[in-house]
Amino acid sequence: MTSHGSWMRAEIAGPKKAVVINKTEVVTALLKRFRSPVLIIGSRSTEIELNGGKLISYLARIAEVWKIPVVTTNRSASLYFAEIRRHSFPIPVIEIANLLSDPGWKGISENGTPDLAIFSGLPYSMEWTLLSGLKHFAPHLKTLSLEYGYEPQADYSLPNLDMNKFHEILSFIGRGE
Amino acid sequence: METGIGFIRDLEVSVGHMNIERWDEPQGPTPFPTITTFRNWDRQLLSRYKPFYMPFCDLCCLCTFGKCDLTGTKRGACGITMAAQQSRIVLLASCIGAATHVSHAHELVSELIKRFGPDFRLDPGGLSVGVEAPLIRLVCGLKPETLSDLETVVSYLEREVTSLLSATHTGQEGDPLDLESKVFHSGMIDHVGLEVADIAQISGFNFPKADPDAPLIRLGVKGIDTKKPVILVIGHNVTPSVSIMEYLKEFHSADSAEVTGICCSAIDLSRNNKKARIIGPISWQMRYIRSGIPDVIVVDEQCIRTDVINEAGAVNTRVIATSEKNCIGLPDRTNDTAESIINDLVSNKLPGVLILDPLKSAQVAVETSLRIFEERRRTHRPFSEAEANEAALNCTGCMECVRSCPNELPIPDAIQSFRDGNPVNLRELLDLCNGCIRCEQACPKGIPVHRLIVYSGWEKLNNEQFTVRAGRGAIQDTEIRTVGGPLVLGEIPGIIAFVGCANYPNGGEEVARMAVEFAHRKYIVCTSGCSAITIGMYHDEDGKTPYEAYSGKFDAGCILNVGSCVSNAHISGAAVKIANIFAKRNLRGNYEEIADYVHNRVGAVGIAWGAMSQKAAAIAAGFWRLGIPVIVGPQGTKYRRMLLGRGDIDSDWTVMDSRTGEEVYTGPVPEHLFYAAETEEEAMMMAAKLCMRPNDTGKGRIIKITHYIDLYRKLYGKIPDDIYRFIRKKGDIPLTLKDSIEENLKMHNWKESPIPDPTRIRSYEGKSGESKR
Repeated sequence: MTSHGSWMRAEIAGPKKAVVINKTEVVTALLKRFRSPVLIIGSRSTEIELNGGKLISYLARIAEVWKIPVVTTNRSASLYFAEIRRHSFPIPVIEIANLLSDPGWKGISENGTPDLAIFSGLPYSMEWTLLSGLKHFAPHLKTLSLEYGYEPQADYSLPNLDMNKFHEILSFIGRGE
Repeated sequence: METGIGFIRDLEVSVGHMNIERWDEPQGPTPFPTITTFRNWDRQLLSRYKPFYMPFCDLCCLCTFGKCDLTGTKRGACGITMAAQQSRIVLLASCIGAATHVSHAHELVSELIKRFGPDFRLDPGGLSVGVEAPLIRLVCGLKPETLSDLETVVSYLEREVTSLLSATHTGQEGDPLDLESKVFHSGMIDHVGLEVADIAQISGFNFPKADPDAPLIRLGVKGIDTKKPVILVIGHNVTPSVSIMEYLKEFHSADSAEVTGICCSAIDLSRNNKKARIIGPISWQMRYIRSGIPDVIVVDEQCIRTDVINEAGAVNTRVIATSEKNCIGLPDRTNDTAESIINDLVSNKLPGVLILDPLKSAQVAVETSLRIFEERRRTHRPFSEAEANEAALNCTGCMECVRSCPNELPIPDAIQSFRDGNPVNLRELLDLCNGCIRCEQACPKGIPVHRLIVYSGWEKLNNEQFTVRAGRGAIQDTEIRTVGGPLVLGEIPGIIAFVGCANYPNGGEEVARMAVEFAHRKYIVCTSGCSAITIGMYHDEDGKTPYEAYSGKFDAGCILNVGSCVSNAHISGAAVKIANIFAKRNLRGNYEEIADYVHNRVGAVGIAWGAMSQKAAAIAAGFWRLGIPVIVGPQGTKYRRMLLGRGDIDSDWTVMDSRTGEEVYTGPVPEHLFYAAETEEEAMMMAAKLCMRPNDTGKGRIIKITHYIDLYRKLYGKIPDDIYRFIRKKGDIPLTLKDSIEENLKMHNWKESPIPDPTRIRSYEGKSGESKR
């Protein structure tokens, strides 16, 4: 199953839809291109199982390898990062989205607003609507969705994937090549 | 009559309704406000709580110029921006909600006048309620005493809803904040409509009158006596349901049929008659109809599945529609004899009828059910094991059901387990399913997915019985006097109101857990509507439902069900009554001052965890104008915009100290006005945080901060980094957390700030002189 219709069938996107990332190298190229990315990890990251473990373990690896600051929006993801002794910024997802929409925001470490926001592990519809807000009202920001379902409201999104393919892609990104 | 001028015949003279003044409180500045009267107040709120838009669609398709692409900075053919379009859609939704409640109120008042006459006296609370209609007094400057007084109010509400709706026309209002101000107005109008409806029905149908000990009502399907006819009522307008009970009592016996209900008609019927049984919230419609248990379904208005006639027909259940607003394609038999209608239904000549006369619809419902139920019991064939197995075999695991399910439930895996002989996974989905049936629409193999889920879980459903306390209605004046001080000073940490529909992200148990958690923490927990029902559907370790375990008083540590959707007026009304009864502020036509009081002093928060409808949007908007924050679940982002504060911008968080006239920093309290939480834990943390108010005393702030920190720790495992923003003086620091908080204060160069006598009205009046007063 690889396609780029919205994962949720009725979530029909408008004229501007996310670029579908069919080659994993595009993700790594994006991570190299943007200077100030942030990874936002939602509550489903500890529920979604891939071949090698939970989604959050892949995301933690990606954050470490690419030195991306992490925002955990919820309890389980925050506890996961505390357990593996890595730093994360606990911020509710609606608040981080609102902050990201402000070009004058100081940023999570007070080093300016990020230029790339990466979303993963959020409830699909909530991510869809938040990405829509950023698409329309945060022209200074690019967004990347790392989910198994295509998120048309992002600037860049993985296509609809089966879990094996999702595992492969995340593993590749996590190698930092 | 013959006069020198001419001959006059059949002359009628009407002088309209006279409101005889029996209220010595002086009229305030804003009785019967128009859509711009509180524009300054709204803009004051919106300057702090800015809209964060999340367009559901990039396009506008409301006129023939369109579709217009509004992406980014593009404007439509009429010049509208994406921001304005989102506010416009929110206003439309809120107008739909307000119109629905106001129309509902109008129908109730008209019906009760028909029954009891225009001079029938309102009595929503007996001797324990002196301020009988706080919202009507506040907004309209009227003290309603009779049903005909409510007609005056309804006329005003209808005028305002029409004005608001007209503002959404193409080429009308185009500024996002002006549209938002109108959203607030629609919410205020909505709450007055709610109050009209509930005080009318409490008075006319003899519901509990502000009674904390209202009876416990049976909840669930267990124990329905199918040896009797079973009638199901669905909707919100209780008149036809009450008529059924009255008819049964008069012509048979109250026990000769089981009268069951779903959604608010069920709640309100149980307020009228404790023998009524509530089946469940709105999400239970399909599972109960398809069970084939009800012999006759009587639908009134709002939140009823529009395919009810098809689903009922499939199980040979007859349907009676009773509302002009919801005719569902059925033939109007209002003017036919009851006997002829009954004959047509019994003989199955018609699957359903429209009867716009509640007494006749009651007679037809009861008599039809009595005549058909025995045969229906003999011939009804429930979904069988063989059918379930065959359906499961057809599943190819294509995921189309998951991709249409709002909660992305893992249906194919559960069906696979079922095929392998393990029904547990499928059974567990029943608790998480909101009953939308989109899975069945999506399945390319035509598998009756929801039926399969219900089949797996039916035995469990059929063995669970719960209770919900009948809606008590208003809050007593004496209760307000008791808790007013501790609430305003912060010593009771807040009022948490669980309201709204049943579109839950993870089933209803989360709502019950949250309600119990806040009651345990000594908040005042109010419930209403489908949330009230849902909260009753869980047992604690001792086998008690929350309504059995907690008192129904309006007091710390209690869980009180005010009633149906329209009873939400008693929650906003309680906040208003605190300003009036406890703080002695004039209520009459004095909205702005009271809203300023509530916003700055009454720590109240609404949680609409499964909010789905336009009515829920209007109810939320009514709380916003009073400055009361509302939290919704993750599905709530589909309302298209939040109202979010920025705690990191200090200049947003000042008030005028009435004692000194100075602008003082208060910290971000309350930080947001409309907020979507991703998880239950986040909602609880945020609710505790949003209960803080500038007026909290040191002791009160200590209590509120303690809850905030504790719930934040449970969410994120650490002390909140923004805690320094909520400490005004060292005396606000909880002793047990002194070290870690002082470290936080030091890290952020914290400085002491005064505890003001807060107001935001004088603040903008002083600056701009723009107040309309």
